[in-house]
Amino acid sequence: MQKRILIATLIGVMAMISLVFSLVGSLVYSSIPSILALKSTLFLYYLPAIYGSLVVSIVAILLAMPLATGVAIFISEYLPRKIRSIFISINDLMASFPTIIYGYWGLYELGPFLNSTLFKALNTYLGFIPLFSTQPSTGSYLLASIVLSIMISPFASSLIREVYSKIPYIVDESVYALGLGRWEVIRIKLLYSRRAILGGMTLAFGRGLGETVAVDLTVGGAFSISSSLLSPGITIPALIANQFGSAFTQLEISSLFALALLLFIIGVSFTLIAKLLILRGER
Amino acid sequence: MKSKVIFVLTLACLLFLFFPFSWILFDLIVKGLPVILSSGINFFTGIPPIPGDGIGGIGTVIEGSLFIVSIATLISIPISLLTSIYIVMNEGKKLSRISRFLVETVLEFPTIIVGISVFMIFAVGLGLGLNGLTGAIALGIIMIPYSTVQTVENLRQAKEQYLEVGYSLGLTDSRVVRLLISEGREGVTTGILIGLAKIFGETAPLLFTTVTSFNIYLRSINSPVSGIPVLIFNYAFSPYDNWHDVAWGASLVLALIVLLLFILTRVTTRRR
Amino acid sequence: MRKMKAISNWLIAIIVIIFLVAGIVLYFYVKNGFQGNTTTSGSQSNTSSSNSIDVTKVSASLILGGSTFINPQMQAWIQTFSSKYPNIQVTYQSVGSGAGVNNFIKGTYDVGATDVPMPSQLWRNATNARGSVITIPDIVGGVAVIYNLPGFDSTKYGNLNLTADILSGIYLGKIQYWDDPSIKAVNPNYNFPHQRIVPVHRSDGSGTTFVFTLWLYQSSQQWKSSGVGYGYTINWPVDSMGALAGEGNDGVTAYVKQTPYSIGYVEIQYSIANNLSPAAIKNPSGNFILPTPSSVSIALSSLNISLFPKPTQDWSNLTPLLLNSESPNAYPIVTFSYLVIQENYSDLNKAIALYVFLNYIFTQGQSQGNVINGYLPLPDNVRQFVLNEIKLITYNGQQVYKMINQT
Repeated sequence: MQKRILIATLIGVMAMISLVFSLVGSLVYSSIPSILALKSTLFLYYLPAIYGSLVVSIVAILLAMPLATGVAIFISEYLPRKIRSIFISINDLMASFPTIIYGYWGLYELGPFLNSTLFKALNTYLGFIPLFSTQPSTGSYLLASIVLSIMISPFASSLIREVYSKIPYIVDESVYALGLGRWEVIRIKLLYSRRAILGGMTLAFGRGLGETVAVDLTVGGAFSISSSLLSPGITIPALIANQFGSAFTQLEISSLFALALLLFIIGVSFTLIAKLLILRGER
Repeated sequence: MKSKVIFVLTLACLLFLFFPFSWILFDLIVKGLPVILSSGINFFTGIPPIPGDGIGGIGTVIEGSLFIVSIATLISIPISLLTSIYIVMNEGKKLSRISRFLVETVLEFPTIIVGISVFMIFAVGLGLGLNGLTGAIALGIIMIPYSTVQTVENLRQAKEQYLEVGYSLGLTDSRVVRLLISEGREGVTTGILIGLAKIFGETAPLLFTTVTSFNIYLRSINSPVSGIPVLIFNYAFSPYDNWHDVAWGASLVLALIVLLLFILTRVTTRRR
Repeated sequence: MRKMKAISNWLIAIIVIIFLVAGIVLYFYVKNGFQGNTTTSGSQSNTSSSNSIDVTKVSASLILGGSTFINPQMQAWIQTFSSKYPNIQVTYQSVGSGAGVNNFIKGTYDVGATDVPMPSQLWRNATNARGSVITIPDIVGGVAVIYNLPGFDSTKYGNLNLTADILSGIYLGKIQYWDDPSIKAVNPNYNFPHQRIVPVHRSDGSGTTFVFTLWLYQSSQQWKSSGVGYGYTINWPVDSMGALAGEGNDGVTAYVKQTPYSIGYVEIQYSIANNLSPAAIKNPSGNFILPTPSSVSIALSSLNISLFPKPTQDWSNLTPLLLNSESPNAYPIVTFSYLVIQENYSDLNKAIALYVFLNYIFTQGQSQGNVINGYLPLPDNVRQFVLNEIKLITYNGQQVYKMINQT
């Protein structure tokens, strides 16, 4: 009996391992022709997409981290037990909500609203800063970043909350015993959780890099580099989604795969870093 | 006082995060519900309208989504389940740790890349073509790590509770595994449900593995059917107002499906 | 647990070997390519070679895809066709001419739709991959220039007049504001605001782009000497200046509708369906012409059908066929849209279904009621030419149209 179970589970594991290796393997295999042929000019050519991916994800993280941390703190500190689980559920629902809906809403609801209010204000009053030097556009780096941060914050928030809420109450007690208030308690707990916060940030960054549809709908599709966050741009997944259909030559197809490989490597690196951070934190 | 400030700040964060979501829900209902109601039952059975005129229905893509997701589940459950059991039962062993690591790597694999890889290998390479089956393969691949990670977590908890008890009672390995699975049923189910919720809403992998048109009903295993998110994606990019309306209606349907799956997940996770 | 350990080593070895073998087999299969196409389904019709096959009993799936230019018309055709022949499932992907041709070559589409005949290299690839391919013109359309100029009303101020040089300047980034002197020169009645023009182009591989940029190349010295050229995709100089890229004709229309002071190029039908007034373009005779059914059909009248190559040959020389017609009232940016199909099939149901569908398009499909607003039916001589083209569809060498019982 135990042999059979073992065999069965091993088959499953082998299938899974070969799946992973086939995926990564085919990715590398398909990328090689263009990497060999073009070497660094390949990535220079696609610089707008690489730039766009980094900008959108970084800005998204900058927006998401304070938000996610704040939410995690509030849920853990201030909400009574019963209400807490409701908000945690809402948080998790948000995290697994279909990304296409975020994108669609972002393009037709949030976009026009922000363009006529916040973005317009940023351009009018702060337009001398290169970051806001162009007029609001239907799609832009900033819009995509905001939508992306809304999407990854719940995920990051639950990661932080996991660690933050498990800090034993004795820490709270000690701080109160010293005559200090809530603010100091939170500060200390944040200090304890900083590994988790960093780890959550990195994991969320990796996730944000790979997001396709929501960003494709809101980033504007312009194959260019711009220092202004309000101008349209492109990211790697959006570029692949746009161009893969008509990529004719082996070189074109291979280039897109090479780009995808780059994305994958960046994502995996960040995930690994995040894991190391969180692991060390737990000890 | 500083404590008051931090209270207000974090409360603001909460509102800031949840407000957009409530806005989305509001829009879904306000923009999606009238569309569904205006078409009635036909929204769930009919074919999408031509550009510019009418509402029609999204019956073809609802059927398509259900088909694609169920085939994907068929593909992914065996692998996911078996892998999870192995990982949990052989914790500490090298293979178990490697598997764990690989699963988590694939978890972060951008879904668009899974889509184009499956396109090259299956649709073109093996000649399967663009249809529900190829789409299901792509979604199945994506579902595996999600279900596995979730199931591993849940089985671990069950294991802690039952493994010691089982061995101390002198049960054989197979009995213990059986006990684990029967008690960890909920964990397994939760894992599957989480995977389902994830792939129901996935668009990118379907873009290149199945068709981006929505007038075909399922007739055979490789009928060119598509999924709800693909419809929303296509109609979102279009300039036609009636297609935008259909997209809102479809978004509401999709949101309700995901919500339902999510509630089921909560219900099957008794222990928290 | 110890027993598990001993067995597990052997098992792991065996299972790994099995997966390696499977992997190698898969690799060779993929490397040698696929054997042609896509979906078939359901019941076989009676295939006795002496009898006529009842077309209504034939069951097949046809996947067509490509040009977004022709999408609205294609959807209309499919809808009426499906009600007559419910057993033949036809579906059309509006993904852009580039992707259409690409997927046809790869075998994932049965029919590729493109707004320009395939460039030579692609035609060679297609012929290598799928055997003889037939290029078929299926409808007549034109490229309209749409714009979003708040405050401009064409009923009050007349049409927005534009020339190839102005458009070339806009898309090269040399003309950046609406009140540019060159625009004011041809539109003296309107006081243009000092606003930046937002150019919109295609993000995907597009036949519409091909036609538009080819027309710019042929009509504007500035574009010709800029080195930007023409094609399904090009490097747009304006990308670094805030241009937007929309997916499909739909995407461009959506962006222009939503973005004040923008300008874009789309198939005429898209401007009509979205109530966007198109610009009047200067033609070789010096007149500013709006894209209307009559201005488009006047351009058609200059067509010389003897220029058509044989069906299975390379059609790429025909691309500029209907551009810049010499007639005084002709619209300058007119084009056929084309379908590309494989000539010989090994799947009888598919061959029959394809023939029946194409036959429908070129008979009832071209009649007044079935051609939607914004397109023009093929001229009769072209239509006859095409009907003969599709008779070339063969199953194992036999012409399919002879095998069926036509209703």
